[in-house]
Amino acid sequence: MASANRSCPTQLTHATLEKEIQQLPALSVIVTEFLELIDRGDVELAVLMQKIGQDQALAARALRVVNSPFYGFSRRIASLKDAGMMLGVHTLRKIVVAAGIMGHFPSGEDQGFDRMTFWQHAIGTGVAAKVLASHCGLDGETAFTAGLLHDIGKLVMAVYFPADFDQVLACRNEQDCLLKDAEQAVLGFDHTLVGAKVARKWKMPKAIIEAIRHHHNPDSVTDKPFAALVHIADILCRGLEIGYGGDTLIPGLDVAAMQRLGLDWNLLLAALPQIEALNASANLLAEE
Amino acid sequence: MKTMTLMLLSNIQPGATLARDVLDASGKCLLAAGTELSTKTLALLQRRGVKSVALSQENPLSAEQEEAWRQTMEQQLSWRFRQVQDDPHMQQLQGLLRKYRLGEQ
Repeated sequence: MASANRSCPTQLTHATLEKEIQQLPALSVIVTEFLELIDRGDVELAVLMQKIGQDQALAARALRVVNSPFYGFSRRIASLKDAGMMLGVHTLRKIVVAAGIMGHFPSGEDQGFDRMTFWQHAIGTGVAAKVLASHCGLDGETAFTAGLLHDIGKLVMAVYFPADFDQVLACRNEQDCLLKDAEQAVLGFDHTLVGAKVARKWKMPKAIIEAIRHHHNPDSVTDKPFAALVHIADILCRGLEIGYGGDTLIPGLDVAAMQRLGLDWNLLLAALPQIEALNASANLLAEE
Repeated sequence: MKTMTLMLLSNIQPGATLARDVLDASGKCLLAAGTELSTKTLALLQRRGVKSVALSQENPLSAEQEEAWRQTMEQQLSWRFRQVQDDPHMQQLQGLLRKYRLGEQ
């Protein structure tokens, strides 16, 4: 992995953000080449497996995702090749990207920002989005990945722009406001923009980039259901105190977004035990 | 009132009772709340990759302990919702979480 902390922090601005993001390290070469192979469309599963096999830590992490209860296999899947045959390469693509991104930011503590609890909130939101997706007919895999990565902009700022992020955290503490409002006050933009730019750089699918960008304002994009889904999943996870995404506050719930998805209060109440049960079973962070 | 505790599968002895349904990824119920776990069902859960489950505790908290737990839960919820207390939708969400925590489904 590339060196995490920049030696010479720069004051991030709207004008320099795009350039700064483009200069961030790529995902690992193996992940990048794996994605290029898949996106070419005509590649044999065996070739894909050979590629991912070149990074054993990535392969192990991806296999752990496959064997989590999300996929509900009745037996343990021993190899990614079996997983690829059973889940299809498109699902495998999402799993490998998620595994690659989690591996890109291993557990650690940046000042005032704990990565382990960050990922707990991210996984919880992925789980919640997946549970809610099953109630409104949306694709569960996309929902999970969108939830998992919705706050990736916060982590990017904490790791690569620590001086700027320190100012944001100080502002949040002083104002007792949401992190996104502190980001706007200090930087003039927030983690949804940073996250969307990073996700684009790392070639995430469009639906996931949109969910990252609009999970705090799903009303502005009524045709983007995954933004609405992650918006609600994030709020439920905060209410259930699953992990810590940098806020002790709960942002306002966009009820219109909830209704557009065909969800109501009773469905949310029914989803809560499902989210907690599935989240308790998710063990994507443990190292083997 | 029955209480609930989350336990790692590896620490559970046969005879324990599930407090909540155990679901698979598709939402299908693997084992229903109230099921008494046996060696066989514990092995099933392990094969399905389940790491921990919610168990009922028959020995409930004392009235004082229960009241203390309830107060802490209420305080934590109020703290989280401290800046949206006037929003009726957020009041509804807070009420929903409270209801869930108190097991009033």
